[in-house]
Amino acid sequence: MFVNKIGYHHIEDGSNNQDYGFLIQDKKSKLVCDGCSEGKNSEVGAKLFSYALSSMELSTDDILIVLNNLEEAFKRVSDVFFTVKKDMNFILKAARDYLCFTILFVKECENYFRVLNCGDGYIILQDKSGEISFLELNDGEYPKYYIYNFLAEDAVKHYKSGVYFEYKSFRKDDYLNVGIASDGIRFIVNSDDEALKEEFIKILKSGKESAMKRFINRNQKLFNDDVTISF
Amino acid sequence: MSNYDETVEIDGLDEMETINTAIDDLDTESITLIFTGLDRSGSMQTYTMEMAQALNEFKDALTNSKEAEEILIARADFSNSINIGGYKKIADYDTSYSAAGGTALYDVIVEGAAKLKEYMEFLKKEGMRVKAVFAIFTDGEDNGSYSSLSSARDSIRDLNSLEITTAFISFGGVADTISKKIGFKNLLPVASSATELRNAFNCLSKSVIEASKSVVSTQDDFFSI
Repeated sequence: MFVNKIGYHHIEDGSNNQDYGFLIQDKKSKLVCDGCSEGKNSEVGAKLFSYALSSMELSTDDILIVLNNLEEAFKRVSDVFFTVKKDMNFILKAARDYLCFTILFVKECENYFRVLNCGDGYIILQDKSGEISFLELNDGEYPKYYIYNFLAEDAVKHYKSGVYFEYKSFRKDDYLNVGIASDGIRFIVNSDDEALKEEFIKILKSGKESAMKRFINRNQKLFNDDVTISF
Repeated sequence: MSNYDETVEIDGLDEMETINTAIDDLDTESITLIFTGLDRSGSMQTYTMEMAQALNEFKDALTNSKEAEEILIARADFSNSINIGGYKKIADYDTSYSAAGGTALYDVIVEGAAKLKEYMEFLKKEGMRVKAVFAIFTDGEDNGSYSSLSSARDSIRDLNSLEITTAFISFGGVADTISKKIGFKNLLPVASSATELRNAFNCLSKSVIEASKSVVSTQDDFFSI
């Protein structure tokens, strides 16, 4: 299931859906990118990165190659802006407006689901009995954006020494499926309405994209933030 | 007194879903509903074979379009009485045709509009994004309806206000004036010939496909493709 829906807040203020990603079945790869809402058009970077990564060789199980692909895809995207004009103010503006987005990636390997993330979001876990749980990726700190690795120390307020991908692996002996979602699902995951939460989980289990889209449409005001699910 | 319960219930399905298409059978969040009201009055007898052929080609055109999965279509026949079917996938569209009797035009408009709005409301509550086209094909003015011209006009005014595309194909020119009186926003007048009949349904299929592609309702230029 791959679902990418605009949040109610963005519908109201007329701005774009700043999330993007993909689910490529034959490469067993899932991606979610969540653009920073303070970035004017962070969806541009999120979409370019998704496109760049999807065109790379993703069939490998080698985690170092996967990491290298993520880095290379990001470099290609940032070059789109950084090679236009070698002016620090322009570069910083481009970074702020287009290139601040989180990256969550899942690679299904022979024995493991490998999850790499730079920035917050959720891991969706489905165990062998089919039950679904959510693992929040949020350490309470300022969001980590990979673009910080491409900027000079004195140009950034946070993570001056750069950021890195965090890594988790989940054994296929223990899990049927592992996916990722942007933090837009926090409103349903943390909802007091248990019946509604159960309905959401039931649709996740079904794998039906259209049913999930209709669920979000019916409960648009609950989903205040953009939602992307790759599961 | 009836000896049987006339209400058929299927477990887990709303009645709306037994008459039309169940929500779980739809693999999309966006749908375009097409209402086709077809004149089966006696004056259409000359064109029985051509109508069946035109309807077949109309169905084929929709089936072969990229938007096929996002279209549901209802067939409504009117002559002395009316028979309005549910909104089904294109593959289930009946293309058979025969003609005899009067022209209960106002009845099919009033009843058809009510059923369209009802199903639209149901789909929207389920989270579907819905557009609709309400199309009538006729070669003549009303005779035999229980409903009045003003009821038909109210129904069409209501559909227009809901941004549903209202389209009228007038075969042979007699019904041109009535379409304006009722308030259809789009009129396609065609001469009464076999060729023009086929062209009319060809135009209708292209217009329906364009309408289902566009994000917003194409209320005023439906036949301009």
